[in-house]
Amino acid sequence: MPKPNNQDANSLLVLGGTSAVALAYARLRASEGKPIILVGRNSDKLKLNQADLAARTKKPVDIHVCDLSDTAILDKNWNAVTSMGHNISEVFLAYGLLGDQLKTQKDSQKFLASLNTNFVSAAMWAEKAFDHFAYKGSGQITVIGSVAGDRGRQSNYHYGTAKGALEIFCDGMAHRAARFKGAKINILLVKPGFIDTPMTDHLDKGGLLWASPEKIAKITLKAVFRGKRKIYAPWFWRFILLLIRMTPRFAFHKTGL
Amino acid sequence: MKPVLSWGRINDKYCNVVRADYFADPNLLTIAESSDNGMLLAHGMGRSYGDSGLNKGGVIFQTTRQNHILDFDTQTGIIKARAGITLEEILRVSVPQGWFLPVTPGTKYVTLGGAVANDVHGKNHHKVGSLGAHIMRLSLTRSDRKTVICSPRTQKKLFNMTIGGLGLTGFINWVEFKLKPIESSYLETENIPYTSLDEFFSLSEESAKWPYTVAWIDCFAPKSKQGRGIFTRAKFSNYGALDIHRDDHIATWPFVTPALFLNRFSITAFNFLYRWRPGARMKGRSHYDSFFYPLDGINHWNRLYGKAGFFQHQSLIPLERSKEGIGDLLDIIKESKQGSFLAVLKLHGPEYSPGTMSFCRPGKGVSLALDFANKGQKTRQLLERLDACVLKHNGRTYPAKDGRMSAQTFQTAFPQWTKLEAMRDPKFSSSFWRRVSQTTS
Ligand SMILES: Cc1cc2nc3c(=O)[nH]c(=O)nc-3n(C[C@H](O)[C@H](O)[C@H](O)COP(=O)(O)OP(=O)(O)OC[C@H]3O[C@@H](n4cnc5c(N)ncnc54)[C@H](O)[C@@H]3O)c2cc1C
Repeated sequence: MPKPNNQDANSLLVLGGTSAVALAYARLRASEGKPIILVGRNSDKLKLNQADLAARTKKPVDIHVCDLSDTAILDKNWNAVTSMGHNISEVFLAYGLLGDQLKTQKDSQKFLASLNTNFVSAAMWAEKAFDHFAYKGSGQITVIGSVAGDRGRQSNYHYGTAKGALEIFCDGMAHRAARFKGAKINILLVKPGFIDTPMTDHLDKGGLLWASPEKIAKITLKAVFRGKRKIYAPWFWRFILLLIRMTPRFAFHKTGL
Repeated sequence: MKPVLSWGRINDKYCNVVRADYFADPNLLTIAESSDNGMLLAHGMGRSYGDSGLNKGGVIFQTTRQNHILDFDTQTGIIKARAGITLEEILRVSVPQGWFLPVTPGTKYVTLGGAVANDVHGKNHHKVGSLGAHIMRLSLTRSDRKTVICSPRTQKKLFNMTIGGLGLTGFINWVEFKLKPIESSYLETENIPYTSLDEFFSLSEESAKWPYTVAWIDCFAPKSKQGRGIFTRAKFSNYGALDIHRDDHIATWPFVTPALFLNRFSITAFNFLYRWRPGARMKGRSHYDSFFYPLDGINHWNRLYGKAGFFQHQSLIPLERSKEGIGDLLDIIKESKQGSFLAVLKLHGPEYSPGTMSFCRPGKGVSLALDFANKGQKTRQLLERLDACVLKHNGRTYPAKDGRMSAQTFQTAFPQWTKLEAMRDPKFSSSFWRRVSQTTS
């Protein structure tokens, strides 16, 4: 049953509502008083984030529990999310799974599942969002990609391929949006470098290359305000990746990257 | 294991650092087992100056990812949040709704858990007591029993022991407390230069109705003007916007300054500046950020003291002994020629907090907080002399700021420490605690 409670306010839809970057971003938006929908798989975690965000925004914060990567019922999930009574103006796509390439190399079903999570389902959600905003007349789609998508590397090209494909997909959507008459849709692809999250706690994070999820969220919000299409976060990764892309193959192949 | 520095940059202890997950409650036994000595200690923002937040050879469990607000009733001002949230973050959320911290220390970069564990006090102690007086409930996980919710009514003993319990009664999951209503983010302030300790007392008395009072004093004043300084009093204004503090630090102290910089001359000059800073006699208006947290504007200001680091010394002397006691302390400092960069004097009121171990118990008195650049043996000797003087006047030294007081000093000032030892979680310990709980002869 739709509850028409926020038709006037513009809601943020977060896909991957338990990710650290997503929470940090949603907190920034909540402090502006936005209503929010969080989608994710773990309902206990979503509920914690929901309580936190509800304390910050004076508007409703709803959750929808589902497996975002389940492409078979993705349409059903989209319908459920869009009939919660929110007027969605922004979609923040933050879910993904770094995975263990040694495993996905050995097990093609695991490989398929990782592609489904990191690319296929993500692109499908983005396409749904695009249609929604095209019909509505405007909207913001923000996608968290990765620097791993910039060049195939032996150690994580399974993940990199999915993120690289997602980038091409975003480029395409942005082109389509640019040619759209009457609707203003902005697509932003964010390519973070190393993010300090529990997933990476086993690494030594002494260096300057590590950024907190809060920092990535702040950079992202600024880019959204400025209508940017593609950013590295923080900015210096742009130059690091430029170097990596420019390294001649014979030299690159000597590295263990 | 890696070296962890506390805020004074002197106490450097090899600890096994384990960082909390965003969501899951910690499994204390597993975490404790991952260290050499099998002991663990929660660790917030590491703003305690000495070793009360360190655990040599054990685990420090870094809580800051557990920073969810669980509930915030904007009608009543009651907020419930996980212990790893910083006061900075709470302000960000509460101020626009017209609510401020009931009690705040001199920096907003501390965690709620850390603030409870030291039962922190602020410039309004004379009116409202320490933070503990405003806590309604808290949830505590221990390695030897199930998670308990403590309040002044249920699990009262554990509640009272946890407030100011130096993190030793277990892991604080969340805390529920009552905020203070404000109508604006700005305070009306008055700065009054004064020239003697007597004047400090009369100004404090005269300002009893002001919610916030504090004095900065000049450690190098001649004996005839001992205790001179600037007396500040303030109250929240009832007009003005509910602006939150700015996002970033104004500056980051980029490098570790050579200690030379803080020689006697610069300290005197600094105190002189404070003494005569422009507008010192004027009434003013100040945002809460610059009023309560002047040092927060400079990230890593603690590097200012150079490689050797610095000591803090804060003592509280009972009211009836305070004039004599503070005078004696100032004499010792002057004699040592190791002046304090920032010396802060404050009249405390009765303690409303139930914390058994709270620093501000048993109440009315005067506290003196001092910073000293670490000059090795010479500075340690000075601090020993200060400790002895504090004890002589029936006072006590603040564990949150200490990394060196002797077991004897501690045990004399906090005779109830044995109760904390009895209620301590058997898996929890700190470098501080192992030091001060040693048997003394
Ligand atoms: C510039 C500055 C000004 C200050 N001004 C004041 C002041 O005006 N008044 C005052 O009272 N203090 C003051 N302090 C001291 C400071 O408020 C305390 O040291 C405070 O406890 C620091 O909090 P933290 O999060 O950094 O905790 P830490 O220093 O990391 O830890 C402090 C204690 O809290 C315990 N702890 C932390 N989290 C938990 C948890 N979840 N469960 C159980 N135990 C926990 C730790 O085990 C440890 O014993 C000041 C400090 C600075 C740097």
